[in-house]
Amino acid sequence: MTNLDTLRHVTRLFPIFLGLRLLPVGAWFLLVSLGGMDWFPGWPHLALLAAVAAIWPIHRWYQERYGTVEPERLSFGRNWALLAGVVGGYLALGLGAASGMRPLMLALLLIVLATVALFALPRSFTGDRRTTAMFLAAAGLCGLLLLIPFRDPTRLGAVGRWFSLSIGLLLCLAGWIEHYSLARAVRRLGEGDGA
Amino acid sequence: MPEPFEELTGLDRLIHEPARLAILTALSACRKADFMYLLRLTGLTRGNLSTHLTKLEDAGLVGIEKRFVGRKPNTLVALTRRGRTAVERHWQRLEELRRSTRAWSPPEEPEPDGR
Repeated sequence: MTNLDTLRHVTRLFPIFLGLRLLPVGAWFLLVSLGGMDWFPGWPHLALLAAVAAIWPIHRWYQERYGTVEPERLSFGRNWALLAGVVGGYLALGLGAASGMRPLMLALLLIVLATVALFALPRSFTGDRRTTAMFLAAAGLCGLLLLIPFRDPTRLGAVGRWFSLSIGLLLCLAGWIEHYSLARAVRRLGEGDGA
Repeated sequence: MPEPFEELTGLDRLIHEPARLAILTALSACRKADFMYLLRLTGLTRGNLSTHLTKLEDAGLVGIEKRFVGRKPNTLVALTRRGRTAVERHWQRLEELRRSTRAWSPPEEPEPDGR
């Protein structure tokens, strides 16, 4: 791959890049995986809101440090998919509690609705449908995973704790790897004067 | 028919200059990018990048839009339709040149006679 190919590749991927923005949600899963903690009533909800809010300053930091890029096609980006997954999971929890529906069924229903919405939306909005569908499915899965520890994090079983721990570690690791890859690619391109 | 190396000298220098080619290549992979992104990616100084962008804007290859994000000024750069066509053509030409250069073999020299 020449530097110009790398340059094109980095620019194409930059709008869907998440990097350290994954860390707050990952940290939330890690916190939940501690299990049995009963610091104060409703702390997981507040901690999740704080985690989502913490994404914003990280996002601003990326914008100031690396700038911004608008993708070739406006599409339902990964950032939105992640946010949709978190908010979807949160809403599903509330709906599930109100309707007495099982969280698993609710999460599956969310995925089906998201997929239907995806194909109902015009192509100009969704961009590459295959990629968007993949990230939406991942977001639905994220919502689903979120529900499991979220039901009652203070009474998580061993499986639930391991599950949350794995998801938390995976998100944190993925965030670091993405960040490191971007920083390395940009540094190399910058050193080579881009061409 | 000109030989590939002769054609190489006929490339558009406005586009083929390394820093400008890097800027145009990055812009061809997106709709818009801001000044900071191009600065990071190309490793140019602010002054150099600014000069190259002005040259490209004067040639009608890029469009520059200045705005404020919060209280900070932000410069967005995008390829114009003409610029996009020019970059694509330039890449095609480079690809053709690469192929013809690989296939090229030097003409056989005539055997020296009288020896």
